Amino acid sequence: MAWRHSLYALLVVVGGGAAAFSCRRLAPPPSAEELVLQREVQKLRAEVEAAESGTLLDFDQMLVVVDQELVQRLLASATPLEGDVEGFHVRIDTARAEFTNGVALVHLDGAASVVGRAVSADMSVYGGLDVVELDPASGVLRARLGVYAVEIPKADLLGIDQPARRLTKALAEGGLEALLGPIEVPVRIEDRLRLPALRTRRVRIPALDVPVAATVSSVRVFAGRLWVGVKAKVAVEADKDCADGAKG
Amino acid sequence: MSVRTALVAAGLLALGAGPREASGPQSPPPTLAELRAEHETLRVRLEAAVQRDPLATRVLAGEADVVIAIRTDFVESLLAEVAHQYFDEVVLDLSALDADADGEIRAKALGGLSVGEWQLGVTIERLHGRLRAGHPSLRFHENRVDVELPVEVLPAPGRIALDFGWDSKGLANVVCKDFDVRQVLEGRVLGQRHRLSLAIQLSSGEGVLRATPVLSERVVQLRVDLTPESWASVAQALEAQDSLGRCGILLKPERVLAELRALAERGIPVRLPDELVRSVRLPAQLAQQVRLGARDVELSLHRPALRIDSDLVWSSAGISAKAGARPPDAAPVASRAPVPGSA
Repeated sequence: MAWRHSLYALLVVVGGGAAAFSCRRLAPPPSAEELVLQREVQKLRAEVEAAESGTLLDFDQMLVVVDQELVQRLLASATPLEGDVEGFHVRIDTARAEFTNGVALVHLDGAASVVGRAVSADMSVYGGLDVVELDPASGVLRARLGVYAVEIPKADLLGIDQPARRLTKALAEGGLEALLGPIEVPVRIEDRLRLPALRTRRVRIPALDVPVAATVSSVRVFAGRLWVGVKAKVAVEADKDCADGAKG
Repeated sequence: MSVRTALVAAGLLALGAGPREASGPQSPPPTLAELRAEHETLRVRLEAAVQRDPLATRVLAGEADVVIAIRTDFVESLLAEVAHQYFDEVVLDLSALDADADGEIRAKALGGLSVGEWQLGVTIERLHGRLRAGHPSLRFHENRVDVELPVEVLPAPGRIALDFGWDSKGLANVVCKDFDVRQVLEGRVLGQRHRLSLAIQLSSGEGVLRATPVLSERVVQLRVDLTPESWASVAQALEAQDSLGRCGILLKPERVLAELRALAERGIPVRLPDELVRSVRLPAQLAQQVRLGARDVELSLHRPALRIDSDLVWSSAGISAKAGARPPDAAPVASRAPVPGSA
């Protein structure tokens, strides 16, 4: 996840007071809106290019389309959600999903407080479903939520300005994922097609086991939906031929 | 934005990972107003392009929460492999299968009058047929797939019972006795090829895409034969009846043997058992439970639909969610070890 690495790298730069950053210190930090817009513009450029060249939905064997409303309902069913992240107590009260502009945007609202202190501050987390994959064990389609921006508008007033920066970093570097976990989408692509063996008075049939190799090959976000292309193939034939060849 | 603080770290993200024009290090980052303008332009262009995309418009018209589209050529390759593998090592117990033939003997010397009728029965006492499948051909047809599957029946030995009966008629009945001959003989299934015709019905229930095969023709003519020793034994038994009192002189054993050979050549009708074909789940399914954080979320599906067009199998459904109880020992879950060096 390049952006995470970039974030981490830049945090290090900021922590060390690197000269390269000093010229930017004069400018105010980009707002959450700006950060989200930057990502959306980047993705929209790619989507528009694909759409205008007729390859927007140039998927392989399967296409899974998930409505943003469903993801929002799933997130809503998991809230309120709370837990401790890096010395903060974080609570997520509401979640919204918006899959219209190239980014599967998730907006979480809640509150954060320093563990052991009574004061808490409203918090908004802007993130996106950056990594979409099939769970290797279950075949369930799942997405990992990357953090784009965290807003704690009254952090300075509440005297948690410095700790809040740590919270932002902690959420971005796995804290939110630890809290929320991967977001499972109710689609399962099983890795094999099975039938148990059958033995009756009239028929004996051995068990059937046809492996299917499936991976997520493309992800698009537009029109309120997440469009996931899946590359799949029946894996048995080549293996069987190889096995036969080896025997021969 | 009324952000005051806490955005520094996240703001760095934009510096490091935000979109950049490839115009060189001097190029200033776009202002918020520029970003908004470009965003709006791109959004409008994308919306227009999406409206021209037949696949996208088809999905969007459905208003389902989840749509799964599978290319028919992938479904074909999957079902072909399933059919090939499934029928490749099937063993059928052919015991108790039977076939029969009968005829009438007329005597020229008696002006063509009937002198009797014969019945021939063949019953398989013990024989297992082993199938080996070839590669099928498939053709999509609405919600079903028509399959033609070449199947080879491998030669196999077994035991076959022959029942021959003679029933004298008319004048012959006065002097000839009726008789029955039963012999259990060594036989075999001949190696042979058949084509099984199946219709695989695709269906979607409870989020499960299922392929259910139905045999279009349930009866296969299975050709069997006797060993040379068994044929000799049959001939000997019939010839033993070739006496005046048994009317074998009218019966002509060689004629009965020819009928028996013809019966074996036509084959014994084998009715393929119902359990031979079973439905199978396709690998793409809608799940009825997902996990979010520490909670299992139960789902219910609405309006599940299945549609097949020229190149895609479509499965879709509306989905509603209700949160399951959070395990009591699962919260809070997000405590993490401090990052070394963090403030």
